[in-house]
Formats: sequence, C-alpha cells, structure tokens
Amino acid sequence: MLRRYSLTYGLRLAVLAAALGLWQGLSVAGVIRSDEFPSMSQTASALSDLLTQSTLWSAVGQTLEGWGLGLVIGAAAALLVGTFIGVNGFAYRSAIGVIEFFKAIPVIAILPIGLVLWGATLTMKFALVAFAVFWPLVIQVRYGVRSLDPVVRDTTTVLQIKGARKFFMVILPSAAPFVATGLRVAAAVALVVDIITELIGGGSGIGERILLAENAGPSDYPQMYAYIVVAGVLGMVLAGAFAVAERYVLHWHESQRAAKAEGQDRGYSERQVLVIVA
Amino acid sequence: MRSARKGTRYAVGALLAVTALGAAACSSSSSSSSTSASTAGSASATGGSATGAVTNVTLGYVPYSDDASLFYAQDSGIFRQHGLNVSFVAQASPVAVEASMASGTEQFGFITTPVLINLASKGVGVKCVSTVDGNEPTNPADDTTVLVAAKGSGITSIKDLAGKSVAEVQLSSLNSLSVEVLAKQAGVNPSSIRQVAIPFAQMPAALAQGRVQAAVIVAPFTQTAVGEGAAVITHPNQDLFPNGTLTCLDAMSSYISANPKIVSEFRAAMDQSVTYSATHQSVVKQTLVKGLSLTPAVAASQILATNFSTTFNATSISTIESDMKQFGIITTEPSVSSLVWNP
Repeated sequence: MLRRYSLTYGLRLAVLAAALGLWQGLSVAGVIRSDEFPSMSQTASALSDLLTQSTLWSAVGQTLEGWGLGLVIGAAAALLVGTFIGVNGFAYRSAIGVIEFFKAIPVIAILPIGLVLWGATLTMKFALVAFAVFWPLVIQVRYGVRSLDPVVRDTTTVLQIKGARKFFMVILPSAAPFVATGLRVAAAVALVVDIITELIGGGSGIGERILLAENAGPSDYPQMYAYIVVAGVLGMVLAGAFAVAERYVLHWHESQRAAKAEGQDRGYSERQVLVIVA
Repeated sequence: MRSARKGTRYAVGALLAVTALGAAACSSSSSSSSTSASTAGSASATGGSATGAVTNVTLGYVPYSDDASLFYAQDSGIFRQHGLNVSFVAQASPVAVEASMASGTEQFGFITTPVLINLASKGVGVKCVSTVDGNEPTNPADDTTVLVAAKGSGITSIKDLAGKSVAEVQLSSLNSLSVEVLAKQAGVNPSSIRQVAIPFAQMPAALAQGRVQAAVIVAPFTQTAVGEGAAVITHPNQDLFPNGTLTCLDAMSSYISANPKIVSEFRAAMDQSVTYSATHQSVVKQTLVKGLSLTPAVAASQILATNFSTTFNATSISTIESDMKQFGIITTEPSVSSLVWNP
C-alpha cells in the first residue's frame, strides 16, 4: 500500500519536475524570450516574494469571496429550480428551451451588462459567477432527480410518502451524487468566471493583480505568471476539497462504495488532498 | 426503508455543508473592504460642499505609465487638499470603465478619445473633465507610440504597407484608425493592409519571426524591437494629431451637472498635479513603484508621453471625429464642445 502511494507520488513529482525543468531549459536556451514569458526561476522567485506579502493573500481572499457567494447563490437556486423541473414534466418541457439558451451564453458576453448594473464591485462578481454556475447545474440536478429508481418511486407512492418528506427522504438522497458532481464542476467554473470578471471587469482579486502586472510591462511579467500559478493552485485545492467532501458526505452511496471496493487508489484520496493542501 | 432514512441524514448533512460554506463566504465578505464603491456613490450624491468636508469618489483607470500624474495627485495628497477622497479601481479597458460609470459605482474614469466620441455619437452623455497627464508630446523622443517595420520587410515608408500585415494592440482603436488614415493619405488602399491584433509584449517576437511586417508599438517594447533590427517608420499620433487630446479623465454629463463643485475640484487637483509633473518628472515617476509595482529603476526609466498641457485640444478631437466618420465608425459627429467640460 505504502509502496504504491510512494510510487504514485514519485511519478507525479517527476512529471512536475520535468515540466518545470523543460520551462527553465527553454528559457535558458532562448527558445522562449524572457521579455515575452519569464523563466521558471524568475517566476518562482516572484512567487516566493509574493507569498510573504499581504497583497497576495488579500487578493486570494477577495477572489474566494466572489467565488463562494456566487457558487452558493447559483447552487441554491439551481437546486430549487432543478428539483422542480425534475418532478414536474410540464415545467421541464416549458423551461428547457430557455435553460439551454442561457446555458450556451458565455459569461464574458454578459459581463458588460453586469458592469452597467453593478460596476466593478463584489456584487457584479458574484452575480456573474452565480449566473454561470446556475444553468449547467440546473440540468444536472434535474437529471439527478429523474434518476430515481422506479422501484423506490413506486414504493413511495404505495406508502403514500409525499411532499417535503418525499423530497428529503427519497428524492434528494437519490439525486445527491449528481448534485455533488455538478457542484465539483461548478466550483471550477465559478473560479474561472470569478477571475475573468476581475481581469476584464475590474473587480478586486487575483484577476486584477494579473491585469496590473501585465500592464506594468515586462519587468512585472514574473509577478503576472506568479499570480497565474496561484490561480491554478487555488483551482486544484478547491477541486480537491470538493472531491474529499464528496467522499465523506456520500460515502454511503453505491457509487462511492463501489469505488472503494475497486481499490483505495482511485484519483484523489483524502491523504493526497491533504498533501496538496499542505 | 432503513437505508433511505440513513440516506436522508446524509443528504441533509450535505445541504448543511453547502450552507456552512456559504456562511463562511459571507462572513469573510463582511470583514473585507469591498464597500468603498457603494459608499462612494451615496456620499457623492450628497455633494460634500461644506468646507473641510471630504467627498468620496471612485475613479476607474487603466494601469499604464502615463498614470503617473494621476497617481501623484493621489499619493501627494492633492486630491485630499481639494476635498476629494478618491478610490482607484484598475480596469482592463475604457469600455469597462465607462460601463462602471453608467452603473453609478464610479464617478470619474479614464477614456480614450475614440471611445468618448463613439459613446457621444450614440447619445451617451460623457465629457472629458481633465487630462490624464497632458496632451500628445511635441518631441518625437517623448512619443512612445511608434510605427515600426520588421528587419528585412522592405518597408521604408507608409506606401510600402500595401498588402502587408500590421500588428496593433486592438482592432478598431486609435492605433488602427491611425494606420488606415496614414495609408489613405499616402495613396494606399487601407483595406489592402492586413491588421492583426497582438499584445504589445508579443510584437517584438512577431516582428522578428516575420509573422507581421510592421507594428504600432509602444515603449518599452519599441526599444526591444529596434534593438533586433526593426526600423522606425513614423510616429502616427504626432503626424495626425499634433498636441492632440487622445485620452482624458471623464465623467457622465448627468454627474457633472449635479455635482459641478466636485468636478471643478477634481479638475483643479489634476491640473495642479499635471503642472507639477512637467517640472518634476523624476518625482512623479516614482509613484509608479507603488502604482504599477515597478522597481524604482524601471519606474525612473519610463517615458511619460505628454506635453503636460492641461487644456483640451479641440482641433485634434474634431480631426479624430472626421477620421472616424470617414472610416464608418460613427455616422454623426458630436460637437466638440459637448465632449469637453471646462470650469
């Protein structure tokens, strides 16, 4: 077991080291021009400078603020609407056209509307994040609700379980794995949208720091890429956290039990994510 | 049944987890300082005309080195002396700034003259209230916008641009308009020139690798390109809009008429800072250390592309208008006096 873990980690570290080494090698060899794209060592030193500064941490906090609020609002709304169109076929058939339409709209296209309504503020950020998260998640929730086992459905009918009791005891547990997967994807989408609104719209956070460093010219490029690295790491940490949460919360579900039975070494384990977070 | 009940417990647990996450996000939001924009809006509405009272306003800007006088007005306390507490919001483009101004969260903002004209011709009431750091410089050495030709491209004048690719930072911008106007003046069909959008930083490489044959480039990238053999063809802005007002700080007309005193204090503060900058460039450039996170040495090496004039150049604005009309960007030319505000 331990050997398998160390082999997995060893390989991952080796691939990471090779990628970083390739980056540095290309820079040193002059294939990548330093005024276009800084070397790995320049970026790493800019990153280590940033790690000691409050600017970075407040930017991370501001980004997480927009991300968290937008995700919660979007997910809560999607859960309500998704459940409704899941149990009500008429509502589903009526609304699906509109949902598919909005799902296809890239957030960057409605960013100007967000700016005109709310300016470069936190409200603009989380409203656009919630918008981006809502449409795909609503479909996902609907499928989750529809996935109810017919035997279970018929049993609840026979036992005359209705209303809130049916929702909490039958529908939600059945939909939970769909919702969890949807949330994990939504968390990643939310981060991307949040950083875009900061970069293009001007909300405070990591995106704004990337913009400032970019406009300051080549001398600030290492800092710009350091912030981009921070954004990537943040995305990994959030995805990892959601995967762990999913395993804990849904450990009773057959999808998680099956995964466990297949062997412990499946994608993320708690320990791996703890390592990533640490 | 038993398993269903157990399932319920966990499902409720999942809901609680999501809610807790939301609560965490909410609590972090209340502790952070993102309320400045909303307070600015309400404070500015009251006018703040009492002596000694400070008015909160928010300004949207696009970060670049010509913001030095603007940063100086803030850092040296000039805005404060004029009773203004200015919050700065960095944004990617004047369009984002204007959208935020329309929302009412920003009262002042950076704009380029073509964007100003475009908005005005569409009926949006916006006016320049002060220069950013002056008008277009008269000395070519101070003009950071340059049209360069790649080494070996065979381009020695505007005439040679026919059929060639020209890199511009943004299409349908002042730079692309300049190239089209210059081409037309030189007897070249502007549509025969292939205009390509490339960020300034990638232009030296694009020129060196022959991906484009010419570029409208700015400092400090010009030095890199010239160092690699690119040739300076001309300074488009100086050719077309001498001493021109190509950028400014603007406000919505509705805001100006409701708050004339705040706007005139803003203008007075900016004029004071720009006038000071003319004779103290090295002092003013050091504001870029904080404003753009440059090192002191890099900040000192920046070129401020300005003549430090605080008067708007109406002729240049009207020239840009007629150029924009000629190339079909606008259909009506708004009167220049409606585009600028003077105390």
